[in-house]
Amino acid sequence: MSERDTRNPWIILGVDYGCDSSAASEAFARKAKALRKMEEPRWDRTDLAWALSEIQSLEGDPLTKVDHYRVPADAGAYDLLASETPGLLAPLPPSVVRLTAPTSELDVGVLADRVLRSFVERILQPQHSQPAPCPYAVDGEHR
Amino acid sequence: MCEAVAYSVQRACEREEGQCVEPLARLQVQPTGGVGDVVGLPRNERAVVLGDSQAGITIYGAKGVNLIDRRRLSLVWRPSVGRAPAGALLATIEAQRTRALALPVDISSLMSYVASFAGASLDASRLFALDALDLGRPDLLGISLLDEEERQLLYAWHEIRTGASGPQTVDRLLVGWSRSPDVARSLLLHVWRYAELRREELIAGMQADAAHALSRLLVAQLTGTTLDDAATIGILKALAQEGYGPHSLADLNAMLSILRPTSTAASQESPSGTRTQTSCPAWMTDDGDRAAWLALEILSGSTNAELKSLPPAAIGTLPRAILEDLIKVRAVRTEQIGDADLRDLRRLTNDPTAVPIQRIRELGQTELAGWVALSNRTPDEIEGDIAVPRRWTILASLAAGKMPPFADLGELREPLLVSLGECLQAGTWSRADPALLADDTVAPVLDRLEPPDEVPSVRGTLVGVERLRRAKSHLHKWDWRAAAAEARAALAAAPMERQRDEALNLLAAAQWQSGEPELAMAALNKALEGAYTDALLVNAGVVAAELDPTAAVEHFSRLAAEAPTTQERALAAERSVRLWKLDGDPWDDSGPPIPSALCTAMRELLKRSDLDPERWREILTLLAVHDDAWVAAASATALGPRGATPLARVLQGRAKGPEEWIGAMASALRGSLDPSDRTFLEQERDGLVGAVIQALIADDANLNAAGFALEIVDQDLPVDEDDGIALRALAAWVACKELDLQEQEPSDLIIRRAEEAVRGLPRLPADRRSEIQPVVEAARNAVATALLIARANEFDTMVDGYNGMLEQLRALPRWQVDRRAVNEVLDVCESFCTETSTLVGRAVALATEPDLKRALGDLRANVQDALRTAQETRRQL
Repeated sequence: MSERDTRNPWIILGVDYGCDSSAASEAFARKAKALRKMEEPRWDRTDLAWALSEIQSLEGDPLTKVDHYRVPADAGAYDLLASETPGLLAPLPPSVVRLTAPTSELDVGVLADRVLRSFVERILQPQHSQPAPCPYAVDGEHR
Repeated sequence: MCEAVAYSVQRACEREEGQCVEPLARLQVQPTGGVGDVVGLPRNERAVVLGDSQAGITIYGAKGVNLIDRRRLSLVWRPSVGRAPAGALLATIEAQRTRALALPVDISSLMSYVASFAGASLDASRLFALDALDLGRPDLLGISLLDEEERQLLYAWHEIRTGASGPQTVDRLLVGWSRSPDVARSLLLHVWRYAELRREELIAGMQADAAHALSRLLVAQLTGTTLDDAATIGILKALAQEGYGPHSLADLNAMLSILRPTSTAASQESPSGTRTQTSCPAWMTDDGDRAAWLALEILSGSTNAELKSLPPAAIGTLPRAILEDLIKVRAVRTEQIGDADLRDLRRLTNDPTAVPIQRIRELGQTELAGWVALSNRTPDEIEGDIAVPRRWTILASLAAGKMPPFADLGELREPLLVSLGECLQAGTWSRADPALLADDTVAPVLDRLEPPDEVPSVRGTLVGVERLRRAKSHLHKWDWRAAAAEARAALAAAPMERQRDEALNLLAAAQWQSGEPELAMAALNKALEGAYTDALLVNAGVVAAELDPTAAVEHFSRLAAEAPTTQERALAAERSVRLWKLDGDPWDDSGPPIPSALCTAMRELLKRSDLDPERWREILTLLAVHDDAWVAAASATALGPRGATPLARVLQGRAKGPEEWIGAMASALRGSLDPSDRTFLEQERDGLVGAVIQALIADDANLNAAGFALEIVDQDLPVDEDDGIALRALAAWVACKELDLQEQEPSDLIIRRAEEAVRGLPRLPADRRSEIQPVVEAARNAVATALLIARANEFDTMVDGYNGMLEQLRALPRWQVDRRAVNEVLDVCESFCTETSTLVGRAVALATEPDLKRALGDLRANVQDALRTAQETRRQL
């Protein structure tokens, strides 16, 4: 792996991928100043200049490029948004207080009886058209 | 299940209605002979027959009872009823009453004979009873041998069949129950309406009768009698054991679970432990009944959704308490609920914030009103509302980062709230309760405070994000080791995938910068599991490309096929293409073939409706170059939603060959096009024309390039006028250059293209004209030169032949000359000369160089001389 292969303009300048040109320029100045205090800096001023030039050349639509390692890969991961999970400051809604008395056996019985009545009516309905059976079974012709 | 139970019950009732009922007795009709007949005697007397035997006929007349010879009698009248003698005789008595048969007998005496006949045997009594009932004399059943219970059953049956049943019929059946439960039960089903009046007796009467369990259950439910559960279960068990229908005890128990959901919860589940969902029986047509059934189903734990389709009126028949239970499990829709309070309660269960707080309070939901206030309002609004419970106003303040009075916090006695208050007061979360740091709802509030120097080892989003920030900061300071350490700590702390992926990304960045691309790749691969961003894909590609471009192509091709979104797939495909053509032009079809995985991924990408049109174009163009056989044969559907557009046809043409490509492009550009497609196609066209012109002016220009240019012109591809002139001129120039003039000459097409170029030149603006003019001039001189050389050679050959013929003519006597053959030769010569003269004339018009013009003029003069000579020779023949 060559030195050039891993150079990343944004990491060199210490800025987020996708930053604008002015932010890169400010970072350049900051890094150039910091460079003086470093004993064995990984990169020198030439690298800083190269990095600034690279970023400026990509300005416009860096997010459509696929040639450079991106830090961050997900800028939104650094934001602390309102949590979707319940917790201390976003509790679950309290239970709804019951408006009616608790359901009684009687209430259920009303429904059950209604259902059964429907059963019975269904079952008995066809018999209205049928004659009541004779209590005896009679064989033979009679007058 | 209910259908099954209904069937089971139906079967049971079929038994009870008589199909399988055991009768009280099986009887045989008895012969009556002439008993009951009214006969005539001599002297116009009448009598009633009492007996019929071989000895003679026993009659009862004015002279009392006598035995008389059959032959002395004549039949006057015969009864139509009579299963036995008693019945026949009774029929005669009844006829005497109504029809005045003029019998000279005492009716009461006659009745004694009836009683005598009826009392002859139990069967005779039973047959008489049936006859008596037929004759409308149930009162006479008392003269039979039948006991009271049997008589009551007969009375009941008679009342039912004559439409005279009533409460008394139930009484009769209760009396007759012990005589024949089967008969009584079957008859009871016909008078069930009256059963309520005597329910207790009915139940009691059937209590010990296991075989009549169903009747008991039905009657009990019908009459509103409450059976205890043990009794009901007993009944159902009895039914199951008796085999009422093909259904098991489990079915019957399931029926019971529907009917008594709250008291027999254990029976609601099948042996496997899962609740079976059933539909409301189709025959249950009354919406109120259906509502009741479905409510019981749902309250038994089913997820049946049919209740939501019932009209409000049906829902309104449910008891309020039941309706509230159903609201709680969202089994009814708001619009179905008529009761205003319950309707708003339903809204509350769906979305509490959708109901005005005032209304929520009216419904007595104070705590819920506080919660809604916390969700909907600003802390100041809540603070000013005295109706909101204090706890909610405190929470609202804290959520907004405001510090409520500590006394208030203390009142709540909640350690986490107190810890949060302390953090707000201190302006840092350095001493926060670990449980507070683990609560993500608090994180945005704490994030506004100063982070601690030493971040605690707590699992939570706040800590995870803080670690991420520090890792990135180390990376920006070129401290790879510290960055990697913080990224690992972030990975351990962050509970959410988003932060964990970013931690892996930072770790990979640090490792990559440290010269450990393998480790970096492993971290990125881990981050790419589950959801991931485009940027992660890019990063993985960057690192993979450094490690092994071929492997990276496969990696990205897989991602191009599997990534969750189309854009990510397209991005991966794009990266894969770039890696595959690392050192070359993606549109160049030389070099290694396209990897099949990439090819497959791109084919699939074309079909994605949300694929960016520009990317679709790029991918199809790539495939047209590198996967031309598939694109050429692909259907419009296979090429995706834009597969039927003119642009798709152009790219498909590109895959098929130059002729199809140029033809489709010409057709598309002349027609209606999407603006962006037109721009793209115009660029394609310009690139193509530019490439052809470059090929034509190259040193190695050949006939292929000229053919391509001529195809563009022939297909009338709309191009700029200067390009059209250049293509014509260059094609003519290259074609002439490449011709073997000993054997070939420029075709008429080539000459015409050159002439068109000449004619078009004056139409160009001066600056363009001056640029193109040298090309056109070269072309016209090349065409003229080629014509000169080719025709001069041919002319020489022709002249040689002509001269040879003249020599032969001179050596022959005139009579031996074959005039026909000579004329044929002269025809050819004249034709050639005429054609050559025309062609050379066109060449003269094209030529611009004086020497060339002169040479062409000489050739034309010679040709015209030859023509005249040939014509003279023909005259002299």
